[in-house]
Amino acid sequence: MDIHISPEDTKTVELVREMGKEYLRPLGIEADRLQRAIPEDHPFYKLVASSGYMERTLGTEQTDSEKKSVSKTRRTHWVRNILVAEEGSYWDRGAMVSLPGPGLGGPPVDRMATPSQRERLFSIFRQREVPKWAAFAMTEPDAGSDVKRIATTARKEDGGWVLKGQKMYSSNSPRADWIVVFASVDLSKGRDGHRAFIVEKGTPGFEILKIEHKMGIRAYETATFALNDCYVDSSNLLGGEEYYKKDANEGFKGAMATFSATRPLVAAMGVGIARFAHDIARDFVKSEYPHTPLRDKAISRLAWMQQKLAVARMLCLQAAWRLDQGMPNATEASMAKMYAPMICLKIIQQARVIKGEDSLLVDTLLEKLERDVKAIDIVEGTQQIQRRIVAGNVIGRDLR
Amino acid sequence: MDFTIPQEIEDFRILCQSFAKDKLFKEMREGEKNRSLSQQLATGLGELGLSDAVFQKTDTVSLLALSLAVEELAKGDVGGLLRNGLPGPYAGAISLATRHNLGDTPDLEEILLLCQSNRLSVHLATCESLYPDIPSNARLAWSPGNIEDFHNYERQNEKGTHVMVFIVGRDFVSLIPTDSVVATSSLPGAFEASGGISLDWSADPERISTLHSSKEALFVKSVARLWVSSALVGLGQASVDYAIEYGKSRVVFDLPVVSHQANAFDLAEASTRLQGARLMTRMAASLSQDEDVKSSTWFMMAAQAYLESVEAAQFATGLGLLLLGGHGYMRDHPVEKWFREASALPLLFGGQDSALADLDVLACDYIDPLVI
Ligand SMILES: Cc1cc2nc3c(=O)[nH]c(=O)nc-3n(C[C@H](O)[C@H](O)[C@H](O)COP(=O)(O)OP(=O)(O)OC[C@H]3O[C@@H](n4cnc5c(N)ncnc54)[C@H](O)[C@@H]3O)c2cc1C
Repeated sequence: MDIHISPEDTKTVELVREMGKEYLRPLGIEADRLQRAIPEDHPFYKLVASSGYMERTLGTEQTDSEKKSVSKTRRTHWVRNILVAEEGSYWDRGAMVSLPGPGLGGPPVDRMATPSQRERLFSIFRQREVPKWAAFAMTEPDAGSDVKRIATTARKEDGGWVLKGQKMYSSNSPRADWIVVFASVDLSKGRDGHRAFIVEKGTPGFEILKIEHKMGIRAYETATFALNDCYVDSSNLLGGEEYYKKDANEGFKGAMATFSATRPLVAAMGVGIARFAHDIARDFVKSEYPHTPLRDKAISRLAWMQQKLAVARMLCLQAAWRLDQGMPNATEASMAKMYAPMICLKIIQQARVIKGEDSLLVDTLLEKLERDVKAIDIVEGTQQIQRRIVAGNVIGRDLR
Repeated sequence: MDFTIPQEIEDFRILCQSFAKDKLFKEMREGEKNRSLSQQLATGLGELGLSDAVFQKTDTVSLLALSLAVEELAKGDVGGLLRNGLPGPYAGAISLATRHNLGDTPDLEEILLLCQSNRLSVHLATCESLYPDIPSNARLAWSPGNIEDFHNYERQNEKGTHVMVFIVGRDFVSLIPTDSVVATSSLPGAFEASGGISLDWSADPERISTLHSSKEALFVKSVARLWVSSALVGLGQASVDYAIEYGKSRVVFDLPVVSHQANAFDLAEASTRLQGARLMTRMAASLSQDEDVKSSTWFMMAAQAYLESVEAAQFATGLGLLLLGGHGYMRDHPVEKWFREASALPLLFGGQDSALADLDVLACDYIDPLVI
């Protein structure tokens, strides 16, 4: 076992740290105060785009032959992504998620797209002039955890597909150039009817219905949108028809496989938020806390926080490492996503206890961090969904 | 032994329950947007009769009535309650000030009138954790209210003391002369409907009225802790009740959310923890009036009840939010508000470490009143 972080990854994290200090933190705080996402045309996003950040989130292991032949290669950068997610969220999780790039839309494309789709969809992130976003839309008003209940339909028509339905809580969707939308070609088939489609910006019938008013992580938009008979070309069926012939379940499996990549990532974001809370508390104890008997209690709390942070981080890293190695990681991904959010919330609450009444003030940021971290327990599958997966695995039986 | 609640307290609880549901809760969501509480609502809270129920006699505080009322009212809006539901967590401090004629405290009758007419602003800081001595020049980081209201109280102040700022330490309780106190900033935060202010004071130590007594200091803190404890139980219960209602109709994996055994078990745990915290709170509250019980005993129980309620409420409100899934994270539902409040409330009046420190001091001599 070697837990050293490579010099290359260290460098990437340092870059994120610089960006975090200068931009993510202040922009995230401002968005929280104004209760409004960072505007799409903010100069910061241009800067991010010009730095090549968008391309880096696709993975730097683009081989020359891949560049030429648009062939599919395994991406082996999930450990780095975990480190980046933690560091970015340390500065501001909302601002981090708002960064241009494929975001949650990336993993399903990565797994399911044909080489030419992959090239078409990812190429917009290789240019450095204009910031671009993508998004992922599975959740619906009546279907969140239980995705087999999705009711958005896809009807074949004129060499393409007509999508009809409503998607909810899709992050970054109002500014996305394309969105991976899951819909059913046959509602009676449940999961087997699921297909993933690309809905591009400007598609007629696409309508943002509501930008949600969230408790926290306000730097990016989470929106509900309608697909009012949106026509998409057949080339927008992710993977093409062939993909779903292998196994009717392939659409659903594609969505689930996406989670194996994104769950540890989201969990690591929780670790980043909680690490910042810990640092606030530690700095306070070191520099301001009076030498009363209560100081010892505060120090014990810090030690506890450090231990729990280390555990949560290891769970995330191991899940990502397995993915990089091409090993199955669904259970490990769920373990990370189950453990980190709940323990990170407790860490922040401990930090607030140390900081006391001051932590009621918006300036100390702790109350914001607590609001932010709670989202981690919900997105990419709630706490219960992770328990369901881990439990099913440890007892060797699928749970209801 | 008798666990029944006296009828008049029960009647009062029901009154508070409907006030919380029909008025406080409804208006507070609007209040969160405007960061203010309507004058009508504030006066309504005053007229509810909380102060009468609490100060039945001049020398005692009916904590049981306070506890039951606050548990219900907190479901409506705990920030508004802190600000206008007087005597609130300050009941102990106010009663002490009147008993000992601290500073220029008005007599109890006038205090009752001020409470009812919403013309009194009370603030309480604990200082054992952060300030080793009586601070003559210090800051109360957060107190409910907004600057405008504070200045209004100050203006009225010429006609009598309408602003009271207490500091309670390990072995003293002080009242800061009102003309030494300045509200410095408006601080929105967890209690969004009621807002918050920061208070600075700078007073000649000679002019600060201080009572030196560790027993009285513990009394003041214990009353505040029981208030917080009751409010936390209320918030926790509100969140659990809301999640149960929601979860009965929301179907996931072919079953209503609450019918999944894992969720039902969590709800069972939350309810049991809340019930334990509620019983501890009520027991400490009723023992406070029992002349045969040593004061240190109920002080300890108050701290225990408070710590128990913090854990129970944070578990319950976290669960309540989670059971609504993504919907719980959006401000369309109140579970996110109860979640925020259950985290913020325990930070007041010294917080958990202060309660633990008090328990440490008393632990070796503790006698559980129910162990024969
Ligand atoms: C900030 C934010 C951003 C989001 N971004 C996106 C996005 O970009 N794209 C997207 O598609 N979605 C997104 N979501 C939606 C998110 O994925 C869903 O909210 C989540 O999957 C839960 O679904 P739900 O809200 O419908 O809750 P429900 O599925 O209705 O769940 C209700 C409750 O039932 C529980 N439950 C479900 N199944 C079981 C079971 N078998 N046993 C026990 N309990 C169970 C859940 O854990 C929850 O507590 C976002 C949500 C938030 C809050």
